[in-house]
Amino acid sequence: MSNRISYIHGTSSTPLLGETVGANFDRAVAAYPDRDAVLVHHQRIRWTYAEFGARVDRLARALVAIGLQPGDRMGIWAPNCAEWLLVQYASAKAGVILVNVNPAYRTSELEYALNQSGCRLLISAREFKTSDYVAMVNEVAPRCPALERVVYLDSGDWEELYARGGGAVSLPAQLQFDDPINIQYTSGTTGFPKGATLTHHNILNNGFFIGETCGYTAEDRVCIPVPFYHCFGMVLGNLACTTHGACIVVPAPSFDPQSTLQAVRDDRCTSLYGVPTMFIAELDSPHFDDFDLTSLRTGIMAGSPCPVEVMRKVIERMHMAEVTICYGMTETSPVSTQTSADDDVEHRTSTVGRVHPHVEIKIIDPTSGMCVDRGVPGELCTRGYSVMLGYWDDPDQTMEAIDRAGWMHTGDLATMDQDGYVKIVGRSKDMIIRGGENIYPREIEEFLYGHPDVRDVQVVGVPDTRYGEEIAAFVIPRTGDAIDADSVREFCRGKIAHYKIPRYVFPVEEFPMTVTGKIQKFKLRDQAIEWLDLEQAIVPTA
Amino acid sequence: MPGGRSFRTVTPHDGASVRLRPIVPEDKPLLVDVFERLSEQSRYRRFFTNLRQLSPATLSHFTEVDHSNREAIIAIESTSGQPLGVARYIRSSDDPHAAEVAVAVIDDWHRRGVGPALLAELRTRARQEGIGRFVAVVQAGNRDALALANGIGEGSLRVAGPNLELVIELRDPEGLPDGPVRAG
Repeated sequence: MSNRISYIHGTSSTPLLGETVGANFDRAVAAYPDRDAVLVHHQRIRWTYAEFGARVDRLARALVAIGLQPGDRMGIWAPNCAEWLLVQYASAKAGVILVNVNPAYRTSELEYALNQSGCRLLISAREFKTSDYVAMVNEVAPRCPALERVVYLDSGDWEELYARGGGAVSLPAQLQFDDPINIQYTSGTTGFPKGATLTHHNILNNGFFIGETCGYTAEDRVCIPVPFYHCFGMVLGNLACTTHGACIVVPAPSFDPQSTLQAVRDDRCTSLYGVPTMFIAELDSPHFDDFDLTSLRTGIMAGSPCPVEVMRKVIERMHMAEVTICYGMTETSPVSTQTSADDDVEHRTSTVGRVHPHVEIKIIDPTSGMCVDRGVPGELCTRGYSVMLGYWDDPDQTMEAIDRAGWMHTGDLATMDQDGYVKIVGRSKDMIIRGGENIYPREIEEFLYGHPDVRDVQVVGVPDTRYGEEIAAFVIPRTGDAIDADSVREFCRGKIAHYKIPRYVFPVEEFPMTVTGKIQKFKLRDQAIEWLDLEQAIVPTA
Repeated sequence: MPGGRSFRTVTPHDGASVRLRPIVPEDKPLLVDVFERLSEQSRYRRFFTNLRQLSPATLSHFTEVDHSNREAIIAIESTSGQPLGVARYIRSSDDPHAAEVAVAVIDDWHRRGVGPALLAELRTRARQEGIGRFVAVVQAGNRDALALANGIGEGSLRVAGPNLELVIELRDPEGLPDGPVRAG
């Protein structure tokens, strides 16, 4: 009976965890005090669980000592580093909601995130590569009324903050696992990012069951080159590790193929994470064959679909026989489906696996809301412990996303086969995936309306061999003079994240529309492909 | 009387009384009023872009209709004369029995039955003009629009990039005469 329609429930004899992130972390510290917990190569840091635990505890007390209360928000704006890890777990123990700020963000995005969430404290890097965080914070802070304090890493500020945890400060006793503990901004089709708000219960359990599916034990050493500010880093990475007593290995502040391979070799990592472009870069890097990667047995690939040849090489040349694929979204903590360690290559490349433990999935006809038969495409919806609390301070958008029966509507089009394997067949959101980053054209369009020479603008994705997709902007100039593509890009620089800046800018007189006036983006995309003489590459569809 | 010569009065929800009639060129100010009362989100859903204003050319296109190949119904609140929304069809150049359809209702009157009433009236007009099928291009996340489409006929779905194309075979409304609108 139940195999006819596209509905499935991930039953499991392993129960959900009913504790806060902090309580679970304390249990790991108590169970594995002498095992390696954190290895950060670029900072030459090696902490056991006991050492990690003591530092987390101290920072948590410091946060309380400076006046942060449970439910307050604090931001973290930094590339991967040991302090990021301390902040993740310390904020959880203090009951303070951590707001992840993308290190690629620039002033307009930073200001938006800080104000929308009302952060009282911001912990920030000083600088990284071409980013001058101090300058950006100085520019934005006067316009952030809730922001009381900024603490810069690699400065006296950080030491001063940390020292405040030395006194007899108690941690809050009244935290419970359904409290919100994390806000991650995810853009959407409304032009402004929305703060997906996740609870301890959401992310702790998701991290735990990801680790279960990967078969993690305290013997595992997981190399995490993906950014912590995404769920990929902080949930699939950090929480999957600490819930199993495994070791977190951080190869570099941001992705670099050489550092990643070195870390895997030097620390005998058993698991490696990445988006497909990262694995491609590693496989293509010089001296790849000189790295002994035989310690690897598993890992996670997520963010966009993986080409078959890349999967084969990852399994054969990187020894990751048990590598798994995950699918999900920030709003569902994030993973809803994952392949098994023993799924064949076909399933690992053409599907996103089967439903995660304790999660329900259904695929519906978007017109009627009815569940479709197996094999029929429709919108994928998720329900269960993993669905977020909502969007921060945005009940309208929350209601749009999560329906009355508790289903999160993903906007992804999918099919489910007789065995419960899910395939993503299309994207019904207006979204571009560039190098594993989700980019929303609407957000870029709203921003470009602020350019003095732009009367109207439409942003689309075009195929790109390196990034999967690249961004193209079609602009109707205000005055009828041709618009300068460089001036458009320059207008963006420093104000929006670099990966959102359009690579191509086309001045046009009008946009293709249906007879009733609806813009036809697919025609703009086709036009761009023709003008750029691009091949119609297979576009990532999820 | 103001506007068109013939209209139908409906009472969609909660005691409201709404007048439906075909649009005429003199309705340009009413259309502008409806447009201005659409939120950014509603505009985005209707035009797939955050359209800032209706150009004169668009206003003409939208109000100077021939009531056969192009028809539009406007909904007006009976007591105040406040325009509430518009539904239109434009006959397909490839298939004379099909027409593209679009609806817009001001935000304050969402979910009060205005959309269904407009579409039902538009369907009646379409059937009179030999059209048996509406095609609606809708954003996939727009569940209200999808439900609306489902209410006037049998729909089938095609994915068109980030949007959905619905083909709706128009069905007869149960128990209602499918004849000319009552005048007066």
